[in-house]
Amino acid sequence: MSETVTRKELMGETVNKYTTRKEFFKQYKKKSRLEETWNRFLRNKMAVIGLFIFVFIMVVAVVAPLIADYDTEAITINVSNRLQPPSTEHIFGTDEMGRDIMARIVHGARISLVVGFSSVAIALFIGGAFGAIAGYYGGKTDDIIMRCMDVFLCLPDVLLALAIVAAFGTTLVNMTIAIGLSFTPKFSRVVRSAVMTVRGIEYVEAARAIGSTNTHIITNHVLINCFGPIVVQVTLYVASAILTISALSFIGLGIQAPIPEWGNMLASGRAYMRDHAYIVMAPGLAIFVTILSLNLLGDGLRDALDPRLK
Amino acid sequence: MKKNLVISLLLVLVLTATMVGGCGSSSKKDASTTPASINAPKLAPSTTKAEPGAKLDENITVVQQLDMVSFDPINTSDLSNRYIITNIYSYLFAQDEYLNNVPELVKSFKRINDSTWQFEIYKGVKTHDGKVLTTDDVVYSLQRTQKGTAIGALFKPVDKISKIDDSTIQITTFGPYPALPTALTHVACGIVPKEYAEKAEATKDWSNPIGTGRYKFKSRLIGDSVVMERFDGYFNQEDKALNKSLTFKIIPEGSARTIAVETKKADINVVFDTVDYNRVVANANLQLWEHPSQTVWHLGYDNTNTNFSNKLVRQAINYAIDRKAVMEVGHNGHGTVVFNNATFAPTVLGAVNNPANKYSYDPEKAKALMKEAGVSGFDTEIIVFRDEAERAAVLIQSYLKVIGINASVKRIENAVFAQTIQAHKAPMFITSWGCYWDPDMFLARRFTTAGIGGVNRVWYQNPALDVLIDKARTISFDNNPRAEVYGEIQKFMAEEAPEADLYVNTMYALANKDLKGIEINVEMPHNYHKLHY
Amino acid sequence: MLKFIVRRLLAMIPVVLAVTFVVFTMMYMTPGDPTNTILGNEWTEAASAKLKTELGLDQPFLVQFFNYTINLVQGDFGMSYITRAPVGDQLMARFPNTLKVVAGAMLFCVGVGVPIGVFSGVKPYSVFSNLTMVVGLLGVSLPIFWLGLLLILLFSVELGWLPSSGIDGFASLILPSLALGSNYMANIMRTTRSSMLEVIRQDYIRTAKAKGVNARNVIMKHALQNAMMPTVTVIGMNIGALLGGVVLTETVFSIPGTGRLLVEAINKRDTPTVLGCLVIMAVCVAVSNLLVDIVYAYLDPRIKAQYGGGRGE
Repeated sequence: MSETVTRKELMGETVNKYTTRKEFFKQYKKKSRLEETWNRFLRNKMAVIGLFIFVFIMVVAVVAPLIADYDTEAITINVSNRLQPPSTEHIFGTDEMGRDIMARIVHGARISLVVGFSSVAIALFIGGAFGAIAGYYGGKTDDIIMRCMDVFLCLPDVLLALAIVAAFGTTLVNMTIAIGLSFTPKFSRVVRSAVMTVRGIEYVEAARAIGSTNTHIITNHVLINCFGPIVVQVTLYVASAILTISALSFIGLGIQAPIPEWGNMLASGRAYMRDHAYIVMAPGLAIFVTILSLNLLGDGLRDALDPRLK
Repeated sequence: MKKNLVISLLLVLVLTATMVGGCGSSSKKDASTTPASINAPKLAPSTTKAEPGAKLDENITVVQQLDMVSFDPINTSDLSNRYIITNIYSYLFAQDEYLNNVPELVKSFKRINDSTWQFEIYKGVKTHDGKVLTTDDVVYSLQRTQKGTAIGALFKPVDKISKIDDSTIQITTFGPYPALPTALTHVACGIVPKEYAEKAEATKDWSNPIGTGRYKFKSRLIGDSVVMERFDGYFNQEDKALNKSLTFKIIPEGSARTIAVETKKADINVVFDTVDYNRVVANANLQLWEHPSQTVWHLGYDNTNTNFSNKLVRQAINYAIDRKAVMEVGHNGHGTVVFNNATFAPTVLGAVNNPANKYSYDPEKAKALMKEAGVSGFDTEIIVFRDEAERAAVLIQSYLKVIGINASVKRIENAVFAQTIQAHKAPMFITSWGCYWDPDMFLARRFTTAGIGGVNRVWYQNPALDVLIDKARTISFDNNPRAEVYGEIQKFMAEEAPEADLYVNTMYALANKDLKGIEINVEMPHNYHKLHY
Repeated sequence: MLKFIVRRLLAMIPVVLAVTFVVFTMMYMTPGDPTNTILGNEWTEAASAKLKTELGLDQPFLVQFFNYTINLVQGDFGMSYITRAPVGDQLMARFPNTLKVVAGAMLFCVGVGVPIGVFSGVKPYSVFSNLTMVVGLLGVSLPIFWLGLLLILLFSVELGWLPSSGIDGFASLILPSLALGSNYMANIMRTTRSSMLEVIRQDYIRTAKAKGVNARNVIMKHALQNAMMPTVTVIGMNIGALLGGVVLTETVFSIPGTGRLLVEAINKRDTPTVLGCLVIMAVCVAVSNLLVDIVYAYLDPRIKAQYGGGRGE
């Protein structure tokens, strides 16, 4: 039994919704890439969770002074109050100097985030510049630059940062530069490959045909289209940078006491860990959750930007 | 997927909560509320003889906090170094419980006149490389000690060291020096065979030491361990080593040292971290031994630094610090607070805890003194190289802030501490000093010109003080008049305040419950050659 | 095959040389006078000048570097500023400990990560697979030093099963290996899983299945070999990270290895030791990259063919 389906029925609903042909074709208009990417991202539940957590941490870091006053709670020592287990008054307990651990964690977030972002920014600018040049010009320039970067890749991140710290000392600025420099080689590779992928695409050839200068092409076309992969790497490297600064502070070659930093809180609390385990829980959890959220975010961005990679 | 993530996160949270909850119930406030223990700390006996049936061929493992520095006796007076190398080298005199002298290489000695001493050395003392120790070796070693800078002030009263014959040496001093035998117990007076010493000095390599002590050096892994074996040719078989070998393990982390003894990886922990006090006192498999100490933790300053050249500033600092709190943070309250400024521990000859009853914790007075001095504040640095000192420094930093001094805390390695001081790079520092019972042993070295380049770490020189110190030494060979002068000195120093003494911490040794022969002096557990099962 | 190895070995040399140069330059630029550290209490102008000539510190930079490299090739790492003993002795005494920890971690990573990755790749939407993805994610985010502390808390302090410090015996290696390896195990797990997934979808697998080949054989013979290549790359990349992480592991577990030696040397401003440690680590990374390349070539028949080899060469 075959039913004849009229064209009208087939297109039924759709046809009735639109009054003009223009409106009808709008649904087939190509959405902007950004919108598409954003939609894909939102569908990835884990990535959204990561985003929320990280935004929460950033907000906490920004409003830290409102949550806990820096001087009275994070720095001032109160010996009679030392080593108190978590309670309603001190959510994470107090450390070996009687300071409220939660206050220190909240202020520590500021340092971690600032160092994390600044060092990656340094890596991005320097590494990005080199990588873009190498990727765009190719040939000998590419070879030379990449060989140089390869040399640095022979030294693991932490060791390279350690070497710079060993030479120049442990101030906040030095730490940031050291960590930034240790990520530069990797970043240059990322940017280079992104640039190389884009380089062949038609609109670049078209731009060249019109006669745009190389610089113009790089800044206006190439870099903008590399945005995607770079954003993913930035996210993941911020996580690494935060991990590195905590690690360096933990071994005593990073942020020094009494400035609260998650790594040095772990180091100084360690002596009391046997009978006061909470003292190493909160700072470690802070690092863990921050890095987890950034990893989720980074993974989500990667999947959203190129679903084929999944 | 999301469900799994949530479950896993919940699991982590539950695990965390259990740990926190479980450990929260066992954490009590330390020190002041000690539970009734089944294993109360006891005072160590001062001499040990092996009982019948004792095992005398064991390998004993001793754990300590800091690594040794060098096998060259005149290199440093660092404690972590001393208690290791005194097993390799012999001394004319060894130290007893109160750091007074006990003859070791010396068979007998007499004082011919006020400034001439003669010492008879045992004959036939064998060295680790099969030779015999001669008085030439003894004279050479002591002359080396005299030339060395680290403890040069110790020998300042010493004039000439010479050989009389094959078994006697003579030491002449500038004026009476009652503390000479005690001076000879100092680590730098280790007797090293001349041949080895000359070779080591030429190559600057002391890593394979030859001595005449109870143990022969076997091996060392820098930063980790030192191993030495019993020397069966030791000259005094009445007092030889009661164990076959000693292994010193370096574990910087306090609880890890305690765990090492708990898990029987080590036999004795000689730098016990009081954070574990409650735990070990309740553990029937361990013994905790205690002994009053003469180790003074102090805050020193570089007196040549313009910031500290004003006496009122130095006094202000003394009023600004709550010593009890510092002791709480540094050693969990195990010790006694002192308000001295001359590193006098309470059990030392002539010690006065708070000379002239001058100091107390009084921040207002401190601020007033700073104002009187016309100093509104300055930036400086506190140098430390040990965990306890670092904690104390962070606390003191907050007290100093109240009176306008901004001090940052800088941690360095103990191996470079001496050089940091020498280079004037330590405007303030916190460390400990183990006192001899005889104040003459440290006063001249720490607060006079002769000590510059040695342990006069506060760079303090004052002719008036020099006179007093000499007086205290020479006034009599009897201790009472000397004690009086020491009282005067402490009053003088309280006014001058070249450093701020904080507290004296109790000495502990944590050991396996079956370990015998544990001896502690006022500085550290010592005489490891007596340890046996 | 041999030609391939030799070529790679030769390529390694300039890289190691360059790394040595970079590290040497950084140490050279350290502010401060090394003679202060060496002479300590005995510092005088004259002694300092004499020492400088003796150590060659007054030579121009390139000459110093050249001398250092020549010595390095002969195995002479110079003299420590602090102990005045050869740096090489200490390095060689401590390096095996570092290797033990790294080997343990590698064993954990590969021995646990790869099989789990393979299984969850074969059954991609099962509970097991989801669980591994979650664990993988968590593992990648856990800081090594925190994990180390937690492991000590659980296994040493609470349960008393395993030692918390030092290196004597097999038991003391377990916790450090776990702590060090966790991050990278997660990485390897995820990579193996995704490359298995990728491979299984390929046509030739479907062909094999259609031919009636046993499923197990399919996996072991066809899929695994091809899936291993990205895994091998990831393993290789991670060795460098392991060497970086070993510094933290040695600090947490008080293991006398090169990592802790490096940190102590930095604190003591003992430049030759710092240099020695860094150079050794860099050489390790280079050598392991080489090994990875060789294994990769072995697995990939295209490269084997290119060098005219077979297993018999």
